[in-house]
Amino acid sequence: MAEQPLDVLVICGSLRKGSYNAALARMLPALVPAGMSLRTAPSFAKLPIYDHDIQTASGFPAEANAWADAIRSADALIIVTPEYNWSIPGGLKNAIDWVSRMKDQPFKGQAGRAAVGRRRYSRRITCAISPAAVLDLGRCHPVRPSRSDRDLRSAKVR
Amino acid sequence: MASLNILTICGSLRKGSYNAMLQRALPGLAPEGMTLKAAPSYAELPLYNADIQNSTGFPAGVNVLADAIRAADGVIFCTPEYNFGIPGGLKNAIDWVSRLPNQPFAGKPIALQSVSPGPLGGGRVQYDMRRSMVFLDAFTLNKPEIFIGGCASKFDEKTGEIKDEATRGFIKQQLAAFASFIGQVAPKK
Repeated sequence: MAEQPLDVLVICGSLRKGSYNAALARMLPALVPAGMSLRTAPSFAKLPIYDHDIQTASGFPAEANAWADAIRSADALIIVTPEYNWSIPGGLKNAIDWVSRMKDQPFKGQAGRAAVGRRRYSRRITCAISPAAVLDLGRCHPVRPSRSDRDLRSAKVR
Repeated sequence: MASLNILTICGSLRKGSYNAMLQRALPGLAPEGMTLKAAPSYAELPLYNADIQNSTGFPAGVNVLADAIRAADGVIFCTPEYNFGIPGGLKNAIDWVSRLPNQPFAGKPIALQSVSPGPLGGGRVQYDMRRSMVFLDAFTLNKPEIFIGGCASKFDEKTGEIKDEATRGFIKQQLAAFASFIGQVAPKK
């Protein structure tokens, strides 16, 4: 009997259309091993800035619930993100902050792998592990550290 | 004593925020010659997206905030810690202003303060703030550090005042140190 493929959710930390990180995220389905299927997380772009008063007055925004549901339902996550000012982009962090406040906090026990692209102004896009962003992501939710993060260091994509 | 205009930026948006109470308490604890003013809000900023910047330009709120930072002799952040790090909204505001030509944090004296109900008082968030401020070429005061833990017992929730005398003393020391730090790193001509 065939096993269910591993259902992996891909989250991109950049919002712009020409994002290199989004391009990397789109390439991933062609690179994954058999038995792994990828899908893209819904957007967090329209989330308001986290404010506890919003949470208590009108509950969690629909986009936060959609994002959390996608994370909960996945077997694992891949987060592909640029680094802004030596740290995690505020938008991505804001989304994490929102869902972290839910009763059934979606990252708990979730296996994840952080892949970070640092922008290079050249035709080749080299995927480098940015220590700052990986550190931030690894710290802000209980992600099991992945040995395969290192594989991306030498990946070159044209 | 040189007169110093300090901008204070709060990392929490909620009305009952302890970090906002701290922000409001600062003028009463400042050394002579230092005036403190709260920064304009970043709550309505869209999440940073270079496509916005390149199509319609910087949102108005970004320029208002950046101008306030530029005009100030120093900036004090009063921020909670969210998930071991900088609240996404505050980081988003920093991300936006960091993209301006003549980004306003370069050469700017910075001090950090954090309040938390937990025991560490925001120890991790200040580490992260320092990291971003280094990249932005700001001058962040090293010491004294202000981590206000167990805040529920230190603030009067009705008046928003800091009841704990030791905490008030530490803040006074930091503000005085910030004043002389500004004189060293960014003296007025």
